[in-house]
Amino acid sequence: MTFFRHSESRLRATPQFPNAKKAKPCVGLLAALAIVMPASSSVCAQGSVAVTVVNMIPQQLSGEAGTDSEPNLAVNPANPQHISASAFTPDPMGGAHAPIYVSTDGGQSWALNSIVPGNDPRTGTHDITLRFGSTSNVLYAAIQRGDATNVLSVLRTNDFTSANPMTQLVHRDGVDQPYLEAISVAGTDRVYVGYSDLTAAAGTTAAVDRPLSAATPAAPVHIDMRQRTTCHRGAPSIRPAIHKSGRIYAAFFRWTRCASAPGVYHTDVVVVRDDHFAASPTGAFTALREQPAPAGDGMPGVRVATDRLVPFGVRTLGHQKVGSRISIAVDPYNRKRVYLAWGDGADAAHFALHVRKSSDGGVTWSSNDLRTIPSATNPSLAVNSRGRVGFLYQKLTGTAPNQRWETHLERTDDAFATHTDLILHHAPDTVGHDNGRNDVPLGDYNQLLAVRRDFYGVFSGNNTPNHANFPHGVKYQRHVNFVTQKLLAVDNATEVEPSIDPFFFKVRDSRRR
Amino acid sequence: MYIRYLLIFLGLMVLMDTRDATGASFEELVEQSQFVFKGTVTKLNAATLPQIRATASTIVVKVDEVVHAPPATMEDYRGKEVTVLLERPGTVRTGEQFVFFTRSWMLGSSIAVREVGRTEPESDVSITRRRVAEVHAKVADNKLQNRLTDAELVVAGRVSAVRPAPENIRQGSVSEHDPEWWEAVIQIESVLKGQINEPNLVVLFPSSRDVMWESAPKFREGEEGTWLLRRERMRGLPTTHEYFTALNPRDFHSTDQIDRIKRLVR
Repeated sequence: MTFFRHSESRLRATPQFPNAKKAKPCVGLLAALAIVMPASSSVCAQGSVAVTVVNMIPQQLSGEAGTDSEPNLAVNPANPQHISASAFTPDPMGGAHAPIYVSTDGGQSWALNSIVPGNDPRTGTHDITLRFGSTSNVLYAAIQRGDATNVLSVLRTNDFTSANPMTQLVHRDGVDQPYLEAISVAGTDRVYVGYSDLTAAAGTTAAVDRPLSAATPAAPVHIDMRQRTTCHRGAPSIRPAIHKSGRIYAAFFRWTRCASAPGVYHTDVVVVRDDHFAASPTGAFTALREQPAPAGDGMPGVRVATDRLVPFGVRTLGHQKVGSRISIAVDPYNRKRVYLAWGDGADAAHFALHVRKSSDGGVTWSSNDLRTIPSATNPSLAVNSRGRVGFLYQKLTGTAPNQRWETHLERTDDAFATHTDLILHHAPDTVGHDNGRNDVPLGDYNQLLAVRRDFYGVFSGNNTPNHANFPHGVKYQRHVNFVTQKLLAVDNATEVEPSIDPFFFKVRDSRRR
Repeated sequence: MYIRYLLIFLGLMVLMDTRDATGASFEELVEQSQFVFKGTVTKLNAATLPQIRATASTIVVKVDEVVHAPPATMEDYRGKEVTVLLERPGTVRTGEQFVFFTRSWMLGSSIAVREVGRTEPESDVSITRRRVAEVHAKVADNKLQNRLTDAELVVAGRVSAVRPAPENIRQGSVSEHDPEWWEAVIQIESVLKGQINEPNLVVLFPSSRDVMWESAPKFREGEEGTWLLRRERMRGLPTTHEYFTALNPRDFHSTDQIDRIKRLVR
């Protein structure tokens, strides 16, 4: 087991990692004192942190060299030892069902369980996200089927290690990037899927599906309620965030002026809200309205940022497209406190991630960025049970052709006035692009979750077994040789070309607030 | 009278030989399976992966001979133990040997497969291997024949040019799964199905390596082969009716398959 426990005082700025927070030495005794003292030293106050990073490709798949990208993660809140994940990984036997990754030991070891209908022999599913109900032990998944084009299936299983295929709850045509969130309330699971509805009238494609129960899938809500006069659609990423009180936020990009595809799109960043589990047949997601003109337009949905430039369909950072990247998270113990991250910028020189915060339920937002991360993509936010915010992203560094992807997890207790930065992985941007033919070697998203005080996440990256690429260590299940920095096939001898693999991580803080 | 009974008995023997306990024929078993192997039951109520709870339905089987396996992943599994999820628990004993017909379930530190059916092993596993291969060839032919039946036009020829599709086609598909439509101009050498009066035709194909289009055939100048073409309605293509597509991996075949296609096209 690879399990690194150390003081965060080890995180120092170096020429290689200039963004790492500068820290003073912090010994255990001082760290203990910091628990009872105001955080005069933010570094000591961070105490110790346990970081686990695991390459998820199973040993029996050691020979694979595919692009297992765009990962997603589900941790069972009722039993955090049970974790499931997804990536573009096909069924190893070429069967009819695509696999999910399953772990029953808290992410230390992983297997593939082929139970998702519609396997594409090269990629498994197309887009896929998954979550557990918070108390039900039921795993839900929203997929674009691998055996069709833009077809959504919402699926469930009562036992994620069972051999029985997942049961289909909802089936829709014309769907892009389904993104699922779930919560259990009074013994009933409520499942929400944000997606781009390519069949929507008038191009108001941003939608949230409300399959509140298996028996009664409600009609989707189209949450972009402003009249559309251009573009004929919005961006594909629609992200819901659920609070147990019944408050549901959803964030999306509203395209307002479109270039010839591919190109740069003028974009508003919009947040909508519903306060009653979006259960109303009419009027769902209209709880947030802008002020009437001239302060706003009086319409549902607050525009957190307007007329931003977002490159869509073009390779912007290294070999990676970065259009339509957005994430939203609500504090589980304060439904008014919500964080939003997105990426914009017309080109590589200007593209950056932005983080904003609202303390009044999305009515008003911080006017300036809490964090701005240049040359970064795939933002994912989560808030743990202590109100600590986690911010996962992947940042391109260096100059072509020697660029590298760094995967960061930042955590803050004070809205990024101070923060700590863990670099989980950094490796060359040299694999997964298929000689320049694949524009999304990392995928269009990764995932950060908080279960109680712990942060869990998944990202995809260059799988070269080099200890220097993993500042906090790593465990591989597939056969590797760290001395020669080679991947090895199932026979533990034949060399395998490096590629893109999914990596699970868990970060546990010892610090009390 | 006795001859009639003898014929009935022989007929039953033939049926017993080709059907397993579930009643599935040998062909059906092969068609539903991805991993076929001769194995010996070593443990009952057991499993080889920590993610699997052992039950009366899970057994451990030592692989004695691989009859058929997916390429690259499981070809060399002889001598290893795997978990088998039985169709019906309690129907095997340790030490018994069968040919297991299985499909994928779980793959981790070991593998687990789901039983489709099982038969008594033949004296020589190479006989079973040959029979399985014959069924696979027949199944592949059936699948190709279905594509041929659905195709509007089947032509053999050569790609004389490839180029980006017209602007209105490419702009119609604004998506993170943008197919990045290109055109391949096919110089027709022979028409195997359908009618076309022109010496050339244009096939629309996705040049994108996005997951949604990864499996679709891509074409390059000078490429020769046989195309199974249809006009499909694709979202975002305003002039789809003018374009043929070959989006399924079975829709393009290299020149060495021409005789097989001629045999199957009717």
